[in-house]
Amino acid sequence: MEKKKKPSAKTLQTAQEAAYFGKKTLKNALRAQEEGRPVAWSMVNQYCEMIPRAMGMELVFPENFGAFCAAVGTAEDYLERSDAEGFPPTLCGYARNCFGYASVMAANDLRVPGDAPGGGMAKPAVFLSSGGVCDARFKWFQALGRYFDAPVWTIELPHTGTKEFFLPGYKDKTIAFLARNLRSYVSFLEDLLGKKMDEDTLSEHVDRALKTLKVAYEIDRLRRAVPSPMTGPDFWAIMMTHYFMTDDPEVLPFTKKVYDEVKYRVDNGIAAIPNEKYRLMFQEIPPWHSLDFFGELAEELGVNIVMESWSFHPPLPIPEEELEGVSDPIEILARLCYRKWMGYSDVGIKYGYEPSFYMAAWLQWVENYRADGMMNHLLRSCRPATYTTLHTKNALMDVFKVPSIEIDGDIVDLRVFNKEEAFSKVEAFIETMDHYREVRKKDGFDW
Amino acid sequence: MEENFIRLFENRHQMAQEAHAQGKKIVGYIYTYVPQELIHAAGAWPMQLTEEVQAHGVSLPDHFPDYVCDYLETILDEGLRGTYDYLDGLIVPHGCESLRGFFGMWCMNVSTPFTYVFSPPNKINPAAQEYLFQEFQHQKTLLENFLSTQVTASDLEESIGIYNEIRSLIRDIYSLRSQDNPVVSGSEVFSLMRAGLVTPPEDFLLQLKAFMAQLSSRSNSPAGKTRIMVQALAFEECFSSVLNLVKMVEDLGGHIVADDLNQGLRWITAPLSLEGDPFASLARYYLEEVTGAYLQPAARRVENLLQAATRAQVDGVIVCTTKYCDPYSFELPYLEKAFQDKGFPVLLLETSLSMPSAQVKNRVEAFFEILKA
Repeated sequence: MEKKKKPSAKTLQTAQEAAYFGKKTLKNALRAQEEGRPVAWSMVNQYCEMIPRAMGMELVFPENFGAFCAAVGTAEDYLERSDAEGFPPTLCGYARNCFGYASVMAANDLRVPGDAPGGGMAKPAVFLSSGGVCDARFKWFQALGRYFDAPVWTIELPHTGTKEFFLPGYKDKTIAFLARNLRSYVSFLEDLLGKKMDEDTLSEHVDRALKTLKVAYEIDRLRRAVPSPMTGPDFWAIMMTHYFMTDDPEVLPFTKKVYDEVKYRVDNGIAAIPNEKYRLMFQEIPPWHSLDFFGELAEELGVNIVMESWSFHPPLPIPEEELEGVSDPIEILARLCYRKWMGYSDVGIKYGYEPSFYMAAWLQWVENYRADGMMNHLLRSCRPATYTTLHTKNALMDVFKVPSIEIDGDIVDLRVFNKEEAFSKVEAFIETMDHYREVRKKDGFDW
Repeated sequence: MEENFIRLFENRHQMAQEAHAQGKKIVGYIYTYVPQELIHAAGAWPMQLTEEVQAHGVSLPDHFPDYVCDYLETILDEGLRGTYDYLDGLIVPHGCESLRGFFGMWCMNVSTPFTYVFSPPNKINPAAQEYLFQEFQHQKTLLENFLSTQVTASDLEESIGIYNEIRSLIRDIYSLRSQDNPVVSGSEVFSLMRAGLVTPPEDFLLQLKAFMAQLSSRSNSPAGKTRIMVQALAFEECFSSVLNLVKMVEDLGGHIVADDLNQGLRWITAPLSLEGDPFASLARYYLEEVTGAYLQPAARRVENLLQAATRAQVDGVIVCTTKYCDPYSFELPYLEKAFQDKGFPVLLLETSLSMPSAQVKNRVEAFFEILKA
C-alpha cells in the first residue's frame, strides 16, 4: 500500500531553498575551526551579530541548531543527556539541546561529534549572549562554562515598559546606554581577536542589513493579501536569513527573490493554500519537530497561518528623521536594536497594553491580516514566548472579537506535543471562528 | 518575640489597610532590585508583595499559563481578588521573564494608581551604573510627582541610615545564628526577616532592637546540632504554611545557620555607603552589592555562598528552587558541584505549591541520615 505523503508545509520555492543558509553557517564555522580562526556561539542578538561578523568572525547559533535538531529528529538524545547533567527539563529546549551537545563534545576532547546534524557546531572560542528577550539567553551561556573555557559577553537590552517608553528622555537615554554597550562589545572583540574594528566595514554590514530588513518588511506587508501568498512554515524556513544573517551578502538578493516570488503570487491571485478558509495568527515559537502539523491543517481544514512569531519578524522601519545625520554604525545599530524591541509601543499605548513587545504588534496585525483566530503554542520550556499568550488572547477578544486556541507543546521536545490532540482542538475551533465572524460582522468589523 | 513577628506578617494586609485609610501611601515592590530607600525617602511605605499560599490558582486560568512560578501566580491572584487594593503604587524590576509578564498582567487587571517597571543592568561597569542612576532618577521624579513631594539628598540619606541600621542589626543576628550554641533559631530569624518585608522600616527597626535586647540576655540555645544552609529565592519556598522546611529541619535536630534568600544574606552583605552623592551611592549599591541569579553570573553569587557556608561551618546545604524558575534552574548543576567540591553535602529540592510536603519531608529525613552518617 502506498504510504500517505505528508502534506508539505512549505509552499514557496524560496522556502525550500532557505535551508542552504542554516547549513552555510555550520559549514563556515567548521571551516574556520579547521583554519584556526575563532568561532562564536551566538544568540540572535537583535542584529548585533553584525559586529563580530564585520570583524571576520564566524558565528553559529545554538538556538537555530536546537530547532534544526528538533526538525531532523535528533534532539531527544541531547535532551536526555542534558537531563542527566542535572539541568531541569523545564528549561529552554534550545538550551537543553545545547547542553546535551556540549556534554558530548566535552566527553570527546571538545571535538565536534561525528554524527551531529549538519556537521555540528564548531567549538566556541567565545559566547555572545544578550539580556534581551529571555533569561535563558545569558544564563544558558553562563552555564556552558562547565564545558568550555570561553568568555561570555552579554549585550544589555532593557525591557522598557509601554508608558515608560514615552517618558521624556527615556528613549534617548536607553539608546545611549545600548550604544555605549555596543562600543564596549567592540572593545571586547578587538581584544579577543587582536585587531581593530574597521568602521567602514561595519557601516557596509549595517547598510546591507537595513536594506534586507526593509525588503523583509515589504514581504510581511504583501502577506496581508487574501488569500495569503505564504504559509507560516514558509516564513519559518525563510526567517533564518533575515533574522540570523541579516547582513550576509547573499541574504539581500535572496530576500529580494522571496519578495519577487510572493509578489508574483499576490499580483496573480495565487494562494499558498488553494482552499484557504481560515486565517490564523500563531504565537510564538512553533513546534520545530512537527511543522508538518501545519501542512495537515492546511490540507484538511483549509487553515493557514497568515502571521506568526512576532520576535522573528523585521522591525517597523526606523523613521527617516531618526536617522538623519546619524552616520555612526554603532548608533544606527543601537537604534535598530531598540526599534526591534519597542517599535510597536504606540500600538501598546493606544490600547493601554503592557508590555508592548510580544503583545502590541498582534493588536495591529489582527486587522492587517484579517485574522479569524490566534493559535497560542504554550511552551513548557519558554516563559517569554508563553506568558503573554493568554494576555494577548484576552486583548484580541476584548477589542477585536477574535478568538484564540491554546496548544500545549515544546519547541524542541517532541514528547510533550500531541499532534492528534492538537489537530482535534483546531477542528473544534473552526466552529468558534465561524461564530466570531458573525459577531464581528454585527459589531461593524469588516472581516 | 517570634510570635510577634509571625503576627506582623499574618496581619500585614489589615495593617496596610488601616495605614492606607489614615492616608499613608504604600508602594509595593517585588524583589531586592527595587530601591526601597528611595520609596521611603519619598514618604511612602515600601512593602514587598508576598505569596499567599491558600489562594493558589483561584482567578488565574485566564491570565497566566501554567508554566510560570507559583510565587507570581499567587500574588497576581491576590491582586485580582482585591487583597492589594490598598496599594498606591507598585514598582517591579525586570528580574526575570515571568516577573516582567506579571507586571503587565497586574497593570492590565489591577487598579494600582502608580506603576513602574525598569530593567536593572546585567553587568557591573560604569555604563551600567550611569544607566541605573538615570533609572532611579526617573523613579525619583515620578514618585515626587505622584506623592506631591520633593526627595532631597538629606531625605535619602536619612532613609539610607534607617535601612543601614536594619542591615547592621540583621547582620548581628545572623552572626548570633551561626555561632556555636546559637541563642537564636532559624525559625526566629526567618520569622523576623519575613516580617521585615511587610513592616514600615521604622517600626521594624524598633522590633529588631527589642529582639536584640532579648537575645543578649539569652543563655540557652534553642538550636539543634546539625548545621544547615538554605538557599531559596523567597521565604515562601521554604517557610510557609504549605511547606515549612525550616520546621522540618528543626524537628530533625537541625539548625539553619545560613541562608541565601532574596531578603536575607543577599540583601544585607554590606551597608550602603553615605559618602558623596546619596543618589549615586544608591545606584552603585544596587548594582554592585545586591546579588541574585537573575542578572549576574553564578560565579560571584556562588562564591559568596561558599564563603558564607564556610564561615557558618555548615554540615549540609539544602537548595530550594521553585519549579519554572529559570535563572536559578540554569545554575543548579554548577551550584551543586561547587558545594560538593568544597565538601558540603547538597540536597536539591524543586518546590511547588502542588508538591505534597510529606514528599519533601521524606527527602529531608533521608538527607539528615546522610549527614549523620
